[in-house]
Amino acid sequence: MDSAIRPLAASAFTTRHLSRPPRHSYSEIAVRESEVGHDVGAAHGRLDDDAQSLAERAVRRDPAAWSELFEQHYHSVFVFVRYRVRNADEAEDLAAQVFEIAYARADRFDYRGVPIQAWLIGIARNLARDLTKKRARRGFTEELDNASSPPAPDEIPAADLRQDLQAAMGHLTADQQEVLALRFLLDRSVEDTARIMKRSEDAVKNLQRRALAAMYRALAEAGYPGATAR
Amino acid sequence: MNRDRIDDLLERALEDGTVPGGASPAERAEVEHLLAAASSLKATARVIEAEAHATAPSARARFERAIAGQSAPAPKPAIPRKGWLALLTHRGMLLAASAAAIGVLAVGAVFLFQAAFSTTHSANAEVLSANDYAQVQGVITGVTRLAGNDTLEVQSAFGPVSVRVTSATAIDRDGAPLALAAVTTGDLVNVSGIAGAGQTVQADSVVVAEGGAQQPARAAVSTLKRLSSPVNGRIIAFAVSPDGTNARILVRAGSKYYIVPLEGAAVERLLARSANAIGADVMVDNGTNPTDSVFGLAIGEQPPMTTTSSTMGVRGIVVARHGDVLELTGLQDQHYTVVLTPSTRIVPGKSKLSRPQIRSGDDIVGHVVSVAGAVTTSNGRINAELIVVGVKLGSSRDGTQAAPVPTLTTNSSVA
Repeated sequence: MDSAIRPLAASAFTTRHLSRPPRHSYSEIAVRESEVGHDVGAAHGRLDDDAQSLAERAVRRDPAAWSELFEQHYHSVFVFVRYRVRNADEAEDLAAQVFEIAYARADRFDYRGVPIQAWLIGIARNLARDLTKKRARRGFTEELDNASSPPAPDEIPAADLRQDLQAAMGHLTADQQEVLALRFLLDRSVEDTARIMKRSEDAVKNLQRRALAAMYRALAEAGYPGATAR
Repeated sequence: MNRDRIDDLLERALEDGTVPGGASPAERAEVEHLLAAASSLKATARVIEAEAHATAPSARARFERAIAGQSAPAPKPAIPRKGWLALLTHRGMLLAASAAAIGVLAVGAVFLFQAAFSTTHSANAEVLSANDYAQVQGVITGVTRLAGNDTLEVQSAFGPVSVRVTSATAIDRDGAPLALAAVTTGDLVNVSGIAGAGQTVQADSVVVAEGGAQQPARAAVSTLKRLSSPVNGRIIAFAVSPDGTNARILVRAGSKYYIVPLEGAAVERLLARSANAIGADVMVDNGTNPTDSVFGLAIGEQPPMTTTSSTMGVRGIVVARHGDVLELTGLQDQHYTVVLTPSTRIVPGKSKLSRPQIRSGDDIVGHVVSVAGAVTTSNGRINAELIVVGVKLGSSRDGTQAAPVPTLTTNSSVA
């Protein structure tokens, strides 16, 4: 019998095989349009028109429009809530609820240059906060026993997300979690993050710094390799 | 230290990948710490992105059902298909009100789900059938040693199981190999292997979880036939038929034990978490088709690793196929070689492929697969005992792209 230890492997897959969801980027469109000699300003206008058309169709609860919205934004909503919940199943549940609620409230959405994604993330933010509050009120842990014990040491690389990182995020405030999710998981610019969070760019940078510092401290306390407690 | 200055240095470092040269030593140290935290987050971004892609089809199906329900005339109150978070929505409150009407207090997801479900069941069901791939848990009540053909008598919740141990059986404790002689009465074990007639298992692996365990009392076991609300439980046993069409778990829900037939997507979800299903906390729901007699799962926390040093659970994308040999790429670009043997149990999962296609065709290339199997020490290949094939996500090595996601329509059938 082989005495070499083969730890259980991580159960996920490389992103190079994944097609990223379509993202409307002004710079991308400007490059493509400039290649055919179109005016960048006109490209910006067309983007706004497309987004407005989609929003108007979504308000009318056009199924094709909602299909497109789901395709465009499920990924972002999922990633946004992922660290606010315990696992991928809960994130899927929460993300699906965001779209269900958005659809139910479709006639209340008022497009005035505000990206639909910001609206969806706002719904996600509120759902996540509601969940956190409800859990805090009833002391919710797991449905079965031994739920309140701290996360097990990350000895096994089988977890999709390192448990210490998940635990570290749990030490952050909701706003800190949000800025990190937007900046480093969703790769949003400071400008976009500021718009979504309805803060100034300086405020986002300030929050980002404090969030990263808090995360670093939490990882250091958990014995994360490369992070030293100060 | 000037905070605005740190913010500026950090922003430039995030763009360039290095701390700007004008930073003082203290500023550099501060920014490097912040960059380290950012790097750790970015490293998980790929994992989360993969999760998002993997969950998108089922989330889309749920959304389709929801808007179909909102669009239809005189819609019936929706019953949460999966996810205890549904209780947080107003529809969850409708369910709570219904439950209250039959004398159940809706206080938290746990109590609501546990009190409101009802089942019909057939009694005295068999947990294991001959030639099943099986995972069971129990306490050793006796050890019989006959050279090269030893037997562990294991008391499980569904009765005694005779576990045949040979020289090919991997026996471990705490991730390290263990001699059979060290296995004793009272040890709690997780066993995986092939079931024989009469509640026996030819063991591929035996993992000793703890010693001095109390024997579980034999319980009446029923087969779940119908579910009106999700139910929480813990997996005690897991089995898959030779042709992969019949996968089931034995779940302890409170004081009751149920055999739960699983849909393919549930098996995929189970195996995606770990090669070992025993001990996982789950929520059983009606799955993607509430009218059939198979059920879905949401997976909660699982106990630490309970597989042996010679068995492996891997998950990745199939990038190439050569006959019965699959080449996989995992998250951190690990490479795995998986061999489909005649005894490999194949579960199509969410792949929309047939078993013959998976067994012999190239259609599996680009699909996510979860595999549990034994490692061949001479060449590192994994002989698959069980493989679950999920959605097609990525490109093969020849650049073939994944199929586009179908368009949402109000009349579309559940995925």
